[in-house]
Amino acid sequence: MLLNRIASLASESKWVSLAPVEPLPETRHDMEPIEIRAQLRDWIVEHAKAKPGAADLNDQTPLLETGLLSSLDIVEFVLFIEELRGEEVDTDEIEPEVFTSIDTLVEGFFANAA
Amino acid sequence: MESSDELAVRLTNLSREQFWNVYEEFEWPEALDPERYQMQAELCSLYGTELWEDMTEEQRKRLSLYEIGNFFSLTLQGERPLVAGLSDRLYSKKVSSEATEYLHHFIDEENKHMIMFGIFLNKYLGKVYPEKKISLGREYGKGEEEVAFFCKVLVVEELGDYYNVKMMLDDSIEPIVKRINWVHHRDESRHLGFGRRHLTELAEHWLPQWSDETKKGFSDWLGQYVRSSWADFYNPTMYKDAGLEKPYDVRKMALAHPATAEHRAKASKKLLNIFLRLGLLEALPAM
Ligand SMILES: [Fe+2]
Ligand SMILES: [Fe+2]
Repeated sequence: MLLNRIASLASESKWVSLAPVEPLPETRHDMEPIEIRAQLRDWIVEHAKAKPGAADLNDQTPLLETGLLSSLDIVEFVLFIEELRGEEVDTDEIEPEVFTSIDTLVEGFFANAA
Repeated sequence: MESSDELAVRLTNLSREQFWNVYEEFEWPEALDPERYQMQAELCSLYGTELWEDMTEEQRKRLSLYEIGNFFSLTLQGERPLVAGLSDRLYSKKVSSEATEYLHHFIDEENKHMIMFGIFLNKYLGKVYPEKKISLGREYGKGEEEVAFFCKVLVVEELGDYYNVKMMLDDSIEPIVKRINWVHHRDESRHLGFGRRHLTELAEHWLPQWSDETKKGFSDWLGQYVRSSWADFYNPTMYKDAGLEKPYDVRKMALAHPATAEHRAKASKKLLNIFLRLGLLEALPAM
């Protein structure tokens, strides 16, 4: 089949590798909960910096009602979470409530680390 | 000028004349030809970047398979809420009876497109790329939801059509891909005609009733919506499937690269000009 043929072609050739733009912590799976929280907080503050309240963000701050996270931020944020935990997110299986606060995010996406 | 109801009647007649059967329209090859590009090189999301320059021809062709997979998946994923929203408007006061008649064809054609993309994706990639969107709901002012819905329709259809038109004329790519793009464009040219006209009427009706604050809020949202629609073209899972290392960094690099920004600006020009002309966008958003 084609996919196999392409895969075998590809495995013979060298991979292009990119210099990392901003290296993330190496040990994604066994990252400390405190580090995960800090990374999530930094991302939200960075993306919501123009919005009121971003500077006072804590782990219980409601992210949706305050507008710190909007629908249009979610895809980018989900991809950041995937990168952080080293595993894809199946959005069919998650409820919007998981985006309530940093606490619920850690519980919903990083259950092993929490 | 033709009224929007006259346009709906004319488009209905055209859809009936060109009525097609998705199960008879295509001869699906057993496998795609790995010697060919599946998606036109210039349309691949890394085209113009240093990473693309460093890739071998084989690697580029391999990427082009997942690029066409991502593009067809994005189109299919965009058609799902489109069909839901159009169905919602059938026989309602939101549209005329002539428009309802045409929406039956619009929905029928979009349903066939989803079948067509679904067959391609399952047969040659073994999957449809999922969307990462989660709907959080939002509060709308009067008329905003209606205008926003038809703006979203125009975004998915105008951007998609830019790609369709490029690929439907390209003999170098895989023939079945060329054909799908051609079949899609044939229906889309009617959808776009209806969508542009309908959105124009909605904008003319609602914009004078909106406060400056509402207009500004809508314009900001729309600019962001176009940007986030573009970001979906740089799918890390697609890069991973193509065998590229550090797929999340590849996405960030590609999105930030001036060559891809130039491509996005060019491909969205028509769409953004419509929004500007109607007053839905107050300024051109950064790409
Ligand atoms: Fe379509
Ligand atoms: Fe369409």
